[in-house]
Amino acid sequence: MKDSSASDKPIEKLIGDRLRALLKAGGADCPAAEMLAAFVERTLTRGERESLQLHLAGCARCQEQVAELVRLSEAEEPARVQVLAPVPARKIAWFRWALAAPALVALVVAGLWYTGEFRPLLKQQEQPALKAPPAPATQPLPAGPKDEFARTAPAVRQKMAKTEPAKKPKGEMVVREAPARAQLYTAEPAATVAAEAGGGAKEAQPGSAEQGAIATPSTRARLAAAAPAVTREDKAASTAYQDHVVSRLEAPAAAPPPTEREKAAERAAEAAGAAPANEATTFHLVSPAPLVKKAVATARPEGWRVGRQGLIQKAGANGTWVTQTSGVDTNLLDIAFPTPSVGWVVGESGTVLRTTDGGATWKRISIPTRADLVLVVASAELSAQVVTRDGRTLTTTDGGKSWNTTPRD
Amino acid sequence: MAAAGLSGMADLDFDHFFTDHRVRLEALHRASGAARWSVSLEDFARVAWQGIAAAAAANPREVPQLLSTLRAEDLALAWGCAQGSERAWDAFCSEYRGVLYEAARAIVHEEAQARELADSLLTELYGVDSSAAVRSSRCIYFHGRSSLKTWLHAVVYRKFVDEYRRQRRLEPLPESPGDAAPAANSVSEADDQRYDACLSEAVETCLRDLPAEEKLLLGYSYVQQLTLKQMGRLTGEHEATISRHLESLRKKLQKRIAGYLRNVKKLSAYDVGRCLDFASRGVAVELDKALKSK
Repeated sequence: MKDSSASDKPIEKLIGDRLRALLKAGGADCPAAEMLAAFVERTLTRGERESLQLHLAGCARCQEQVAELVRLSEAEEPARVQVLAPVPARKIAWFRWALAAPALVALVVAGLWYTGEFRPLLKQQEQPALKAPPAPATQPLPAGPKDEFARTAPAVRQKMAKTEPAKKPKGEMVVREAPARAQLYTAEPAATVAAEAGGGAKEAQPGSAEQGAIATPSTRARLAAAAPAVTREDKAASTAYQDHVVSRLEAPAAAPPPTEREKAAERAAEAAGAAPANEATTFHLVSPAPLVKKAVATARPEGWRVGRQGLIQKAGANGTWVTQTSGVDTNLLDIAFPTPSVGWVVGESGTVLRTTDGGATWKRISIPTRADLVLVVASAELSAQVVTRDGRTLTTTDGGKSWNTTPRD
Repeated sequence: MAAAGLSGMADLDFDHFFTDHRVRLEALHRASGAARWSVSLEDFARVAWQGIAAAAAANPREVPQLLSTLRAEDLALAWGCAQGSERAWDAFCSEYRGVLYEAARAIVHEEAQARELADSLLTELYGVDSSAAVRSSRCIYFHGRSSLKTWLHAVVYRKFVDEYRRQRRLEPLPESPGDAAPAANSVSEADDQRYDACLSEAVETCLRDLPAEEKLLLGYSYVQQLTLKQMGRLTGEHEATISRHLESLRKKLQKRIAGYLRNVKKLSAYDVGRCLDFASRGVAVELDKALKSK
């Protein structure tokens, strides 16, 4: 091996010498300086490039000039980097901390809550917040059921607190605490909202049969009010936390027995004709930024929810969930209805579905990404924005025929 | 005007070009801010046409692509300078004088000479020529196919080569290492000469047979001594890809050389080995000679 490499060197040198000897000095047929500059900048057409390569392979003068142009353009780069480099470097460092801090705090809080040490403190803080819900950080709540709920929520809470048992089951931690960082992908049934507005239903209850739970508007309104303006970086940072929560949600643990409060909530919901909260459905989580957007800006006239393996369900008239045929088996993560007839669903592996007949049929829409789509915000029949798990936004204004990608900041 | 110096046929082509792509040309003209330098749409289109005429003639369907890669703003500024717009020249100087000095310094490596080179080029770009009756700017050779900056780099390097190498025309050229005499201390001079001839022929033949693209890549590496990164900029490939490509090229070439020596020159495996050995000794002697001469 050593011998062969030792013998390679002279051959290589010979190759260089012969190559040099084969090159012509260059002359009148040499291309213009502009063509060489365009060659270096790679702005020539394919034909021009091939023809110029043919010339360059045999012309010492032009080859040398091209080499010099590359060296010159490269020599200028460090100067640019010196000016520009510190800004992104600082930004990245800052964002790293900004990303790490909420995740760390969330983990500590979750841990404390899980061990039961933090609950009394949170309970104390809960009441004043409900009495005077702070204004949303990003946009005001739209007029409608949520406003009404905001007005009636304190009364409902006080009423419910009377029947609330002092101790909550440990398994509740994920379900009740998780909404502060994550949201279930249900478009809440109108009946649920109405029931809450009328003081019937209340906070989200843990799914008693399987993994999921429903985040009701009260949870969302509180989150919307309390959530700070969240950047895309924050969304990405919370992925680890979300995964943690998802794993807890999806863990096949035995469901805790319903508490008095839960039973009361179920009774109230049933009385109001709401869809059952313990539907055997798996839900997924979205990151905080989409949550804020959705909670404050998206109004949904009907109850819809999505779940695993292409599950799309519509709230039925008698409080049941009616499963729709989605035609896909990927996990679906979000749904939006800009109008009663047109709806959008997004999910894992770049799944986008669209209905134009109020959800009776869903058509798969082609999108130039295979990333998980965690959020859809639809403002009109033909316009929608979807957000990938890594924070990119894709926008369509023609019903999904074409998409514009906005990279992550 | 250089733009007006086109032949009748080219004018006819230009008319078609101007008519067919007028909307796009108007948009480019507007976006380039050519009005600032008093460059009319037709002049703008003519200069652009000069730059792309050859490619458009070869493949007329490429015209939209060619126009999309046009550096319209640079073109307008350069043509404004060429037309004698003082405002354009002021803008050019404020933006590109430094670029010229930097490039000249990088090429010449000597401050005074670099300044002289850059100043001399600036006068040519402005169009001062005592021997000519009218002012003629070198900017007329820029048609927006590349950025003005890279074009200026190319022009300054060309000028350097023209000016400074011309001064050394009468100086003897250094001996090409490829033409170096065989090792003086070889055991058998006859053998060495034979091996040298065989090896040179083999290498030359194999190099000639290579496609232009591969030959150029070897040229970048062995003759121009470009780094992998620099080669990557030229080919649009990643350094790792270039490295792999070069490695496979070397192997292919060595295999072909050995094959040529065996099959065409009818050398035995022993002689092929001695050929390589000869090359090795030859290089050692050259290095020794070079060191002694210094």
